[in-house]
Amino acid sequence: MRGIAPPARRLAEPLFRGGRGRPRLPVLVALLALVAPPGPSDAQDGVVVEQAPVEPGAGAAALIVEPAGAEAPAAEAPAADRRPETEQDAADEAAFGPPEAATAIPSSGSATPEAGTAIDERVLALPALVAAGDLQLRGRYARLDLALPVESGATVRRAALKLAYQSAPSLLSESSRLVVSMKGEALAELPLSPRRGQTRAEITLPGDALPAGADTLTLTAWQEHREGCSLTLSRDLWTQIDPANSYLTLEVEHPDGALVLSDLGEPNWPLGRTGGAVSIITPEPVETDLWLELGGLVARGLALRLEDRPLIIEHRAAPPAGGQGGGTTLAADQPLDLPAGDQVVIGTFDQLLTTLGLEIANRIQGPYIGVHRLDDEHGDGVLVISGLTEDDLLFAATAFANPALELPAAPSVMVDEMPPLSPAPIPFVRPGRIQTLEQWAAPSGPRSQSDERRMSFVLMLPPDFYVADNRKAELRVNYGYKPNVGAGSALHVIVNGEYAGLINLEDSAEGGIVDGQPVRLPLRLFRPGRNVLTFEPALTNADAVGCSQLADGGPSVGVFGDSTLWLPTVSNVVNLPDLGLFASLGFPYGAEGMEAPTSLVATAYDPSTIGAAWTLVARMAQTARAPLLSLDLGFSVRNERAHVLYVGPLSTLDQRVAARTPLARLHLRRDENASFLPPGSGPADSPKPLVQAWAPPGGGEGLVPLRAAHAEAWPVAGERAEWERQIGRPVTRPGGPFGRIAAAMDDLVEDASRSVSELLPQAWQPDLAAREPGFFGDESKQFDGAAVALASPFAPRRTATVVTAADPRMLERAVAALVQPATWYALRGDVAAWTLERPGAAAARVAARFPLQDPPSGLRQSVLYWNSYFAEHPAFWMLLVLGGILMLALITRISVRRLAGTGG
Amino acid sequence: MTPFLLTFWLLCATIVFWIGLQDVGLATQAWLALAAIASLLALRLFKPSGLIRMFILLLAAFVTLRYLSWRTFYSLPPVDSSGFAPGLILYLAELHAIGLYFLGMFANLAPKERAPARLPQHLENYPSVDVFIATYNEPIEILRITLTAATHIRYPKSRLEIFLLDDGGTDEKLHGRNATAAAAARQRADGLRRLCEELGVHYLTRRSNTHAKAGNINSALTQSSGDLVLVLDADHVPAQDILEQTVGHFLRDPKLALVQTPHFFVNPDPVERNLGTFYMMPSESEMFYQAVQKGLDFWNASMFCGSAAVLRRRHLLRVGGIATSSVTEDALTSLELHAAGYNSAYVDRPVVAGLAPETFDSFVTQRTRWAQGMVQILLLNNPLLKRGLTPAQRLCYLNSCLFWLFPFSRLVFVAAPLCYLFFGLRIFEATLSEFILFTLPHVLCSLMIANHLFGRLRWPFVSDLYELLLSLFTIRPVLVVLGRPRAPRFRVTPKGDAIVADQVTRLAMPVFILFCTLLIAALIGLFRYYASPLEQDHLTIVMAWNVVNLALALAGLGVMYERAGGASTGWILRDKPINVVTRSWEARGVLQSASLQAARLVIDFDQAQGVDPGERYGQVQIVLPGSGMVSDFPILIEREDVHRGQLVLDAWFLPDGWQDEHGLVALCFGDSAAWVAFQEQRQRERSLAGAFAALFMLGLSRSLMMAKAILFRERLVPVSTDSTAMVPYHDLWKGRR
Repeated sequence: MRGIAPPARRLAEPLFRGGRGRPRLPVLVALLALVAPPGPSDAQDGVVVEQAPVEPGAGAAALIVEPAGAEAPAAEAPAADRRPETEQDAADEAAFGPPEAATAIPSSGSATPEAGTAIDERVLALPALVAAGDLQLRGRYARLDLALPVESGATVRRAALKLAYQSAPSLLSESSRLVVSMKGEALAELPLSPRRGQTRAEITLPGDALPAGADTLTLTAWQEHREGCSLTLSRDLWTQIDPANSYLTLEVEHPDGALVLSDLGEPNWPLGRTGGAVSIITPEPVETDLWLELGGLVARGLALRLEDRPLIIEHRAAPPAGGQGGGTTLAADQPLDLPAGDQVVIGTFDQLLTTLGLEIANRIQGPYIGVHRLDDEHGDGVLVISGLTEDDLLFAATAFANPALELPAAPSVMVDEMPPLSPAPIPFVRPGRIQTLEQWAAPSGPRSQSDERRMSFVLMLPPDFYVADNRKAELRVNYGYKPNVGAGSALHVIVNGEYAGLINLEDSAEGGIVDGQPVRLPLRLFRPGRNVLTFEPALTNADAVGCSQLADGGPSVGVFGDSTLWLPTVSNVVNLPDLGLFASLGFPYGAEGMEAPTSLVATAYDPSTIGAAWTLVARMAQTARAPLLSLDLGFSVRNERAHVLYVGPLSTLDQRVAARTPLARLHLRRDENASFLPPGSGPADSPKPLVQAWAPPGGGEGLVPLRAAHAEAWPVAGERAEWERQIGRPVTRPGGPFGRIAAAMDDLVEDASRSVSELLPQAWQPDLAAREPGFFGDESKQFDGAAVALASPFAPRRTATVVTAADPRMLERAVAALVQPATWYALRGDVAAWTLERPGAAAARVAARFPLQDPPSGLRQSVLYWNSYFAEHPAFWMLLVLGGILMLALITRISVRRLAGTGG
Repeated sequence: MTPFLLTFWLLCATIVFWIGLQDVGLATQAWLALAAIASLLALRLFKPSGLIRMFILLLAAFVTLRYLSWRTFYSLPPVDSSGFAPGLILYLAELHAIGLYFLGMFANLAPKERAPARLPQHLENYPSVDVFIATYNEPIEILRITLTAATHIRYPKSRLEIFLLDDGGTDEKLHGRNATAAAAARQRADGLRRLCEELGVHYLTRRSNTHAKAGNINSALTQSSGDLVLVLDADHVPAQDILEQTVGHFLRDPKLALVQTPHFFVNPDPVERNLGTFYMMPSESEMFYQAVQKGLDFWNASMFCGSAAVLRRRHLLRVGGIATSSVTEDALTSLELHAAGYNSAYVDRPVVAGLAPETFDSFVTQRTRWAQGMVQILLLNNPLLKRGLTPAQRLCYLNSCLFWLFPFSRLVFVAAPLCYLFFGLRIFEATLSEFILFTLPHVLCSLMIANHLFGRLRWPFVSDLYELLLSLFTIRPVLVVLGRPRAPRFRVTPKGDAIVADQVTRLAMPVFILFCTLLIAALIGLFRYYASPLEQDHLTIVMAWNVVNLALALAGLGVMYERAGGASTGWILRDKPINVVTRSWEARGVLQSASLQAARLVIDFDQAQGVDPGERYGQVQIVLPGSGMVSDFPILIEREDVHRGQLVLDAWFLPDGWQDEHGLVALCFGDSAAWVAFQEQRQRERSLAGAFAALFMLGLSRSLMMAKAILFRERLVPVSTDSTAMVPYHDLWKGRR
């Protein structure tokens, strides 16, 4: 082991003993446990303890502990509204349903508040309450402090702690216990019964024990050895709390219902809490670039404060003042007719005066950001962005978009100074350096102890990470495994869904800890932007003896966070267009400091299109972790030398752009209830493609349809059936080595075909789409939304990206589906399409890519650049090679003839 | 090659080499692979020559260069991984194989077709020639044939002297401590003296057996005086035109020291016989003699092969005679001659007919000596360091020496997949795509190139089979040489061993163990393939590799079941016109094939109307090679058969006196054109798949027969390693009687 083991690592020693016996803190540990029969329930006063039902054969229980600094789970959202955060979440939810804990704690509903008060019900996952994110109690005495988020002035009316935990098999249950306490006062004592498998307990906490303000709930474990076990195993003393199934539920009463801006994005903030759409309300229909920009700024501000939670935005124009015409101001004598849910109102003082009332309006003395609780039964809040003038309003919106602006613990603020922009840097893995997993990798995947067998890390690679070559990344895995790991066990390493290597686990009676096990990963499996590195254990259970036989824990293996990854220096080339890069980093629109201008163009004026544009820009801000202030929003292209992102219904797109895409061959469904119909189409046309006029002569430009091989990177396992339905054939590779070879050859043929098509004149290019049963031109395969990236027809080395649907309403819904992680991260290649029903997207590459920048000047980078160029243009490299060999053959031939003439 | 050309060539080669090292991704590699394979297919189909052929060869070499680059930089296991050590060994084995591939390609760049060199018109211009026939323990019957044929050599008698160099009759042998052996030696020596007197041949011997064959020839050099020396092994029967084909070259080039001719074998080696491929597949030696030697000749590096070669005495003596510091004295002698600045020539015409080892045991003995000798040369007379050689000669000799390290690389290739299948060691870091795009094209291209260069002379995978079998038995002797380069002693290859019944060779056990190991590994692979879906890519690579090894091992296992001797030996196809005369009928026909004992006569049906089946005795009238007269040979007709409208007679020769014996030797061995025709009729190209399937099926068939024999026979006769009981030129009839 390198360096000095931190104290926390030393604490982890008992879990993986044997080997060289060095301590280790597993950042991420997978436990594959044998299924234990359910045991009787224990009950105490105020405490309900039950045995977790485990389905026979389910077999595996996984436990994932987040590293410090890992993203908090979206536990604030009730289970019913919770959306999968990653494709892995989605996969598991598809396969296993939503996490059990989320449904195990039913919402108590809204209590009737007292006059002048509001009730806020919160469901808080335990990992969010622990500073280190580690929910493991180790050693004979262990303690875990949970921070309680109850804001000042609030009253806890009801509280309950639900714990799901499992203890080491070596514990002696008679003398081991877990105590829940606050301020030194024990609230409950729970048994630690390792034989029972996972134990679940629900503890009702006295409301008066949880005063408002920062406070701490303490879990203390006293853990004793099991008697009669081997000495080595008796050192295993731990209790693991299931992070997915352990919750704290609070019912908090606000004495005056007041909200403060500093709570924006916090768990108790009502805006965005439900997971539904947020409405941005403008005083009039948005028809100017300014108002489109204003909404976009607010969307970005909201998104960045909600971190990674998908944010869906709808646009509503306020109704005209009641009966007074004009429609430019909100009605003064009528209550604001806001839709249920979350709202943001933007407008100038004049526009909002009558609506908000004099008391609030008087606060608007300049650029204004305020929050007010609506007087309705839900206690929803409304965020107000305003100003005396449009300039003030723009200033306020821009400030709000800036995450560096610290919002005060007050209902409103007048922004008088714009804080310097300090976007949160994306923690890129830098090639050429050795970095630890915990240094930059955030584990992903469901945090359930019963479903997950994989351990996944999300790595971000910079956009100029060129990966077409044959080099290898070197992973040095530090891992430990328990004594009962049987012969033939292995830890598979998977990169972006592709098998990359394996580690054989030695059949050891004592378990072991291994440092620096090298695994070579083909660099080609990585890509710029978001990458998922997965460890998948394949464990067998050794013949149990002694304590292992008594234990209900099965074989386990843990990968430590100080495992390292080294990526070789690569060519710093950005090849565009690439939807994968767009989805991972927002590139090129999200690249701060890019010299090239960037624009987002909404191609229609209807609220649905505008809402879709705002939703998209919000997701891009989250992706780029920056407010994208350089992104220019408008209804038309003001700078044709910009990278342009078009958002709009298919029929409204710029034909100069659309004609260069294969969208005409894509079958996009319309919204059945849509009132908007594109010109020239009618109900009788459905479900034919809406736009036929854009089909280029010859049916496309070297289209390459989707193939089954694309499904290998399909992030959502549960969506395979849908994929098969879409492409019309099974995606599971046929068994046997020939099937694998055939799949690999399939790739080669595609690459070669594409390269050939690049060489041919346009008119000669084969219509590959017509030959292959892909998603182009096949009426049985219909989608709701599509994204296409292409080289800009207006400027060299610029891209145009199109996000579109058949009609505005469908566009709004399609973009809402798009920003969900499972679909967003499935964007690949330069054409992608998706449906509303299923997460995920079908993707393909149609056109060749081009490098975004000029060749570099340094020798090393120049060589790498040209290598990458040739990798993108194999024909040129082949011509070079053939020319060189021909010359060599010619000289050799002449030489041989001369030698022969001289008798050798 | 002018300095300008050389510089330009080096510049181009450097650029192409540099391009080959660049990492340009899999799609680009796919292009290259497709282009190379398509070119090689074109090479196979259209047989282009000149510049196009050269281009395709270089393109294939470029594919291998890309593979080597990828292996070196991207597919080796991490240094501190458990797979590194075996991975490095595999890499070194591949380096060896690829190095040989490139060297072989260089050596065979422009095979030289030499025009015949005529002898002078006037007798006084003929150089004098001494024929040295070296013997140690070969039976007198064999030597009788060789010596008889030597007396038939067409060359002015005044310029030709024939010497029998008997190393079995030295003082050391005749007066050895072992009285029985000494008596046998005396008896043999006496017999040989009488034979020499009978044939008019000089009998030479010496005091001791120092330096074995090399010492024997060197001793004879001191007792003779001819300008040229024709060296023959005891079993190498010369054709009448052997000197007509060779001596003329010496008159053209005064610096010429050596003219080598091919070794043609009238019987199959154990692999050919046990798999039954002698008449359908080119012999193993043909590739070396009809392709490699011609390639070496272009670079003035053709090698002395110990027999069937003519050397210029003066030049030979200048380098100290036949070299003695290696058990392959022949190769070392040619190395010394080349290093001294003398030239060599290779005449691609079989003018001797010899005997290949009959048993697998003696075959291994022969190849072990070759391997040890060439490694000795590598260690003690390294061609790269030897002064006087041209760069091309260095590379050619290096190729010849390095080849004999094949036991290491071959066994590594066999063991490599087992590392993963048995122990899970990843020693080859590659994905399936990389394997398909880098390894497969390299393997395919090298196989196709080999098939292009040598396909007519050796089926694909035959080399692999020979190397696999020999690796198991030569690895230890080669290791011994590497440790003690001067340790090996010359061992005469036993010739003419008789196998009286089908039997399992005593050397079968290692091959059997190897086969079982590979089979078990294949089964484990299958199990893991379905048990570990994530490993399927890697398993696909490993299992495919293992299956190839397994098929070769199966073919090798078939070789271990040795066929009874005589079934297919010593028959030369002739198609020579004859008259068959009996007391009751006469007919014109064709001598289809003949050995010294028997012949197959074919008579057209219209000629056979008057044939009396009851008539058993008669005569064959035939014009013998080198004679313008019709000779008669008494025959006994054993059997008649009608086949495709022809009457086929199988007959025994009944030689009566020395004239008939001379006539039979002249009939069977006098005309080298018959051997050329025989070789050409079996030189047919096979596709990669066809050859692989044929070897697999032949191996499977023989293995099943062996299994049946082991299971149902009561007793298996062990192969005799004692070569004293020899019957020269077994023939078909003995097998039938």
